[in-house]
Amino acid sequence: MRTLRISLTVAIAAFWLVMNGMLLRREMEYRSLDLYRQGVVDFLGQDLRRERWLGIYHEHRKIGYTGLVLTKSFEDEGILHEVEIDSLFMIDLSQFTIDLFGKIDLFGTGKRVRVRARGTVLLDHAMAPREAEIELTFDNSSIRLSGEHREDAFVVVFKTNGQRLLELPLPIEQFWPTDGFFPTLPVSGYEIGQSYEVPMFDPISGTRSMARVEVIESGTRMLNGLNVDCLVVKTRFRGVTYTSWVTPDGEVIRQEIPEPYNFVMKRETRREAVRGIPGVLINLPPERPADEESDSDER
Amino acid sequence: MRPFYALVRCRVSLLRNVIVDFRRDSVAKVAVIACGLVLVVAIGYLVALHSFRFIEAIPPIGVQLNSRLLGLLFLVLFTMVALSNAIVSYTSLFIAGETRFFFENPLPPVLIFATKVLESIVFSGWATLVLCYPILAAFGVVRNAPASYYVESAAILLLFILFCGVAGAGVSTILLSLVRRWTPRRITVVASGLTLLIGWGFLRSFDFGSLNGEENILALSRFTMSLSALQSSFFPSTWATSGILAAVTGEHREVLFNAGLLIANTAIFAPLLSWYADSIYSRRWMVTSEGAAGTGRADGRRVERRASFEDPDPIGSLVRKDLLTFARDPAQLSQFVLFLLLTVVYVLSLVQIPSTLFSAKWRIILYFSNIAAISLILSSFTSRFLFPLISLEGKAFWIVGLAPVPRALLVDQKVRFGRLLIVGLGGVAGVCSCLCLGYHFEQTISAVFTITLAAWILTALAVGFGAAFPNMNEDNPARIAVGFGGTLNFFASAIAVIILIAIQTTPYFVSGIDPSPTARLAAHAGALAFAAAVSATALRTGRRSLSSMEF
Repeated sequence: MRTLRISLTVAIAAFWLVMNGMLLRREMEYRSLDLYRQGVVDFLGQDLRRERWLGIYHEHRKIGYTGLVLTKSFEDEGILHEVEIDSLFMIDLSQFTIDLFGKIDLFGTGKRVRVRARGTVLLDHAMAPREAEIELTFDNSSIRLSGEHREDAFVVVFKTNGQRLLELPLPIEQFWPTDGFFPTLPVSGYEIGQSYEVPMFDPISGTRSMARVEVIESGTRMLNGLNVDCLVVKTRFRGVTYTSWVTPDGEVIRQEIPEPYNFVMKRETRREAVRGIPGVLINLPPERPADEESDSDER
Repeated sequence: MRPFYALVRCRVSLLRNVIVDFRRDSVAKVAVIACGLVLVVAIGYLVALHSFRFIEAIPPIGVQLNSRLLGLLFLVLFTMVALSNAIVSYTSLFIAGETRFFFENPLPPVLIFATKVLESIVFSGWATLVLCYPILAAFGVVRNAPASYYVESAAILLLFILFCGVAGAGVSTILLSLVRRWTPRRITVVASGLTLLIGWGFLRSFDFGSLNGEENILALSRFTMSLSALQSSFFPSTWATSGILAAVTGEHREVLFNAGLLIANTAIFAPLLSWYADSIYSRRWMVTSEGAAGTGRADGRRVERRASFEDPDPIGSLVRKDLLTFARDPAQLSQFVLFLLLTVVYVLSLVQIPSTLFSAKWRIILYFSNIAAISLILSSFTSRFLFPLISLEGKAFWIVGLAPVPRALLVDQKVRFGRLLIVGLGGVAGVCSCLCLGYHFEQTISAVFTITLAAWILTALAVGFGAAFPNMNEDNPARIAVGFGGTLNFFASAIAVIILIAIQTTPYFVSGIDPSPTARLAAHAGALAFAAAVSATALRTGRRSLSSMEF
């Protein structure tokens, strides 16, 4: 009886140590991350999946959407983050220069092009890439981007019609895949005065650029009749500085890209985001000015 | 192992007797209990479903707010279940008559301790399980959870309640060791200080005063975000919340991890409590039970002196006896303070009612909803504290029976005692809530009148049912309150409140939002007649039952 009691006590204590040790390891892994990566973990919070959708507007006309789905999964090798990106926008290439891979001009200029980037990137707990699979579509042409670990690099391969276009070795380090547009980091818990520098990988141009994020001030914004706490975040990415209004939860309410682009991105649900873009989905209303209700955000 | 089997046989026999009694019970009794339980569960589920759906649809904070509200639910559950179990386990471990019986038998202290702690957990946790599972089910429906969620969430909830229960028992034993040499004044000062500190922190979290009514959801969002305990990975409510959120997305590995954390941190109490039971429990039980008896004798002398020389009124003496018995029982006193705090929180929360609802129609709806809410809070007071009063006379009933007064006088005494308390409490809550909501003088007086009538009825029902369905063998008031008579009293009270409110709202249904003063006066007269009839019937039934009761 006494032996049984001692054995049980030892077993219970061992189980307690193992479970709490695992919990402690998770917490230490989290605390070892820098501010930005902690923010990404906080963006999910206790949820394991979170979506963020923004409608893209130009001069009050909807020209596209950009969506991000972040999923946390628990594998044998640890905690992984799967980033699903889905962006679609119509863009007049006469106004913007897309330096695709730095040398290929697929479209020429003066043409309105429908650009879509859709796929997933798998990141490890430290936000370093493990795998990537993204489909890029420019009108009727498509390019497949795939990335994998190879020796000491993360190699990104671009293919079209089964033919290899380009192979791009990137250093194994944290990066965040952009939506091909003007990205905002999925970070929760911004505080005034904080600033981050995050390497971002743009699948459309195939380039890696640094984004500098700075939290300027806090305030509230009226959204759908509800006053919402938010922080004003300035992001400088590829020579453009744009402003985002982000809730403490990391939800982007609005994003304004200044002259000469004049884009406005507004927080929408997935269903609202994919609505109203010409030639995107069947049985959806044609391109129209943004309705008054969704445009009712006031500073 | 023999004592263990004897105890198991004893519990099995008790269970068998309960089942046999249940079979012998009338169909009506079983139907009332079953229907009441189903109704409570169904209402809980529907309210939670609509609330989660409403919040989920609020862009852009709804989804995250729902997740955090789930965390807040577990945080509140942790506090409530642990506190409740600390009180119940203290009563069971140190005060209950059965514990004395077990010690006298003698059973090993470890076995007594384990049995009492387990019983306390079951007793203080079953209602949480039954009432909270529908909320979790509603959350699963809103989030389109897979079928496995409903099993996993039940398991997580069960483990969480088990953890809270064991933690409560642990706290109870530690606290007893710490405060056993403290004077009542010191305990009161420390408890008051702690209550004020927690209350101040709670109100500060809501940022009262800085928000207007329209920003209620914002206040809730800020509140849930500012609770650091909600976000700490080391807090048990975080494990339960993470487990539930993982179950919603079908991430079984994470569910298992969080369940494992709960199991490990529950199981670690086993060797600790076992050591306490082995080495300290029996000594502490003796000191506690002897101490309680000593205090009782001293107080008893004081009561006797007052009863004999100062106050010839038997009702006054009996009221003082009830007050002393109540004050001596820490379980009763602490739960009463908890109820009082909940009432205060309710009244304070009315400050934040959105002014956008203040159209004439909504003001009327809000007015009667507030009266109904206060009446229902009073009903929980009467069900929990007044209904058990007759039963608590227990085996010592013969002492009261020997007093040279009719036995039915006991019913009148309990009613007077109850009314003094409940009418006062209801009146204060009514006036404060009307002031918070900005109603004018006449409406406030009218509300206080309705609440007073409700208090009048509820007190009569609780004492009447308490006398008609006494349980003299039980010394735990919480158990008496959830017995058949208690359940019947609870439903009768709820129905009486609904009828009372229906009578008072009739003029508004007939004439719209501005009925004539005559119509309102007629409604008040109707409500008064209803209150008088119900009170008289309940008290007559109680008096008759108590007078004809055999011992």
